[in-house]
Order: sequence, then C-alpha cells, then structure tokens
Amino acid sequence: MAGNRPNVSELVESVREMMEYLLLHKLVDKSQVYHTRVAVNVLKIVERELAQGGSFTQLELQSLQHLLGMSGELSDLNDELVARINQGEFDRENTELTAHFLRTVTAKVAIDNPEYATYKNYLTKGELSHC
Amino acid sequence: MDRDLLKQRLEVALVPSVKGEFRVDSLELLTGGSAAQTWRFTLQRATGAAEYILRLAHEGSLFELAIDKRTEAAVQTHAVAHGVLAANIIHILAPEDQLGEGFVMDLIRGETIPQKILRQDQYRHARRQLAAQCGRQLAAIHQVPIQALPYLRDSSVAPQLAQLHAFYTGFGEVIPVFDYAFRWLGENMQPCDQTTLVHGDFRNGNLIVNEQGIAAILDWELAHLGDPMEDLGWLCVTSWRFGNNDLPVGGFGSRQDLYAAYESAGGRCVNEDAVHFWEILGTLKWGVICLYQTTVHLSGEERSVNRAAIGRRVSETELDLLALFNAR
Repeated sequence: MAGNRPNVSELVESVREMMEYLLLHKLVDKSQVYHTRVAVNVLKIVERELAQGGSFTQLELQSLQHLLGMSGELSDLNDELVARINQGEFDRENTELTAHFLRTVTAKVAIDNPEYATYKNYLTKGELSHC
Repeated sequence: MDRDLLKQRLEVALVPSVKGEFRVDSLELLTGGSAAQTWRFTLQRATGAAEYILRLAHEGSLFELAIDKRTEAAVQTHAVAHGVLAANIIHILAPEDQLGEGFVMDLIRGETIPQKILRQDQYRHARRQLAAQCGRQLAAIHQVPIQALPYLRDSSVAPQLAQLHAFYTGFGEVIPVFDYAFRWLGENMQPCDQTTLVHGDFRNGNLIVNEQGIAAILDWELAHLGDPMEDLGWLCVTSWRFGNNDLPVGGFGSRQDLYAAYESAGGRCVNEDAVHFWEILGTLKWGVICLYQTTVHLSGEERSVNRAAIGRRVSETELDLLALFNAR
C-alpha cells in the first residue's frame, strides 16, 4: 500500500529545500555550514536514487548474470566476480568485464555525483579518457 | 576539550619552548579534519605578537596508514632543516602537557582550499608556477638524507600494496573494480632502485599557496620511506585536480613542467611508467580511504554526515580507475 502524499521523494525533497533555502544562510559557524552543505548534498543523492526507482540494482544484476553466465543473488554474484578476478580470470583485454564495469560504475556515479568531471567528460566524448 | 581548558594547558605546555613572559590569545579552531584538529592562536610577548598553529591528533584509534604526531613533527623538522618549504615546529607536545598528541608550528599565511587556488584571480600568476615549484619541492624532499629517519617504515611498493589490500579487505565491502585494480597492481609492480623519503600526501589541498606560489607543504602524517615516484603519481591523481581534468598536476599544471623541474632540481630521472603505476595505486588508495571514512561512521565509532557522504565518493574513484586502465 502506498502512503498518502507527499510520497517518499517529495518528503526528502521538502527537507532538503528547508535546509538549503531556510537554514543554510542563517548559519554562522563554518563547521555547521560545511556539514549542512554536505547534508544537503546527501539528500540530493537520495533524491536521484529514488528517482530511478531501483533500476540500478536491476541493471547490475542483469549485467552480472550475463558476465558470469549464472543466476543468483546480487551479493553472491559480486562475490563470485571477485573470486574469479582473484583466480586470474578476465585478462587485461577482456571486453565483457570492461563493459560490465563501465555500465555499473557510470550508473553509480550518475546517482552519487553526476557533476564529477571524469563522468561529464565521458558523457561528452562517449568514452573514458585520462591525461 | 573545551577552548578555555585547552588555552590554559597550552600556556603551561609552551613554557619550556618560549623564552620570557608570554600569554596565549585568540585561540580559534580552524578545521576539525578527519585526522587532526587545527587551531590558530596568537602568542603575546613583550617583544610583540606572533601567530602559531596547534595541530592536535584526534583521540582514539590512529588511522593505520599514518604516523603519530611526534614522528610527524620529527620528519617535518628534518625536512625543513634540509631546505623543504614547511612550517618550523616550535614545540612538540609531551604527555605531561595533557593535550594529547600534537605540535605547535609557525603560522604561514596563504590559501589551502584547492577550489580557491584553482579559480581565484589573485592566484593566476601562482598557478602558472605551481607545477614546476611542486617538481622542485619534491626533488628537495627526495634528497633529504634518510639515515636520520630510522623510525620511518619502509613502505615501498610491495609492503604498501599488501598493507592497502589488508586495509581494504578488513572493511568487508565488495568493490570488484578495486579487486581488479589490486590484481593489476600486483602484476605490474615497478622496480625501484632507490629508497627516499616520501611525503605520502603531497597534493593540491596540502599546499599553502600565496600569490607567488607554494609557501609551505602541510600534512606530513603519511610520510614514509619508499619509491620517490609515488609522490609524483599521487600529485596527479584525478581527485586532486578538482574538476580541471585536463591539467594533470593538481588541476593547475602539466606533467612536462613537473617532470622537467623535478629532474633539473636534482630529482631522479622520472620513470613515467612508475608514475602511471603510482597514480593507479593512489586512486585506489583514495578510494579505500573513502571506504575507511565511511566505515568509521557506519560502525558507530564516530557518527558524522560527512563520513557517511564520503562513502558515495567511492564510485568516483572506480570511474577514475577505469579511465586509467583505458588510457594505456
């Protein structure tokens, strides 16, 4: 059963707006300003994660099943992936592992910090670059 | 400890190190970083007033990659004696000072906040000098005689990688990109023919910068003996470019400027493969440190929204690792 409005995203958004627009500019203590900014940022992460409605977990699960050729729980599959990496499976040129990492990590950064320069460059160029 | 008690104990502690009559004034907490607190105060003497910095270690367990504050002070003092730009230390706290671990050093004016150094107009001239100045400072650090530093641990590549791996697995968090990176590093360890002093945290954020460039190098708590290329790699880690990804040295300069100044100031010949290796290890290390920070929160050791948030920076380091693997 869904609860009454506001829904969970709207509730989080309301707290974030209160902190960002009503509280922050009233604070004087540098440490309190800093921690409040961090808290606002945390709520933005929550808002982004809620907005994509758990599709990341689905994406990671399907990508792992495809890569490992087996089904199972997410945590078991990740353990299996780590075990295979440590056993020396997947050489340097393994395109399937690279594709899996790229898919899952970019999806995480899209939630955690879409402003991150490496991620923005990736979106612009369509590939990861480093200089 | 509250400010009044701290001030009172600091005045008593400084008696052996400060000549003549004095009092401590304007004691103010600047930052409560995750590893140490930084306080600023004024020492009022008959001859005039001067400002100092008090660095105090946090109580409780020591971050296991770090050295204690007494050792840090000794290394910093030794580096200053050999021409490295760092603050002169006037007092190392003793147990009877009842202030915990820490030391008092000269206050050096300038900016440490990376975003300001990278964006504010007043540092425009300094930014053009910084990469070369970093090269010269690193060359100086790597030429500091190490015979006088027997208390520093050897953290050259093999022991450091093993320690970092044990640190990572201790958290019980599964980050497959990290496991892949550990495997790659284990297979691609770079030979190193010389052991030097390594600062260990030489990066944008630990430099005091004024209009002319570097005024001092801060935070010697990760100092160790090891491969000098480690410091060059760490300085170029993407996280310390603060958005300026196209300027690999701290977000302010080019590798060419860094390497040329390093070599002409007497640093060893730069091994670019080794720098690349250490950049990967550095990126991984920052990721593991983020994991550690968030574990301190999750375990209840110290609850903090800041430590919680940093757990979500792990994915940034995963992406940077993938970019590094893609680069060569």
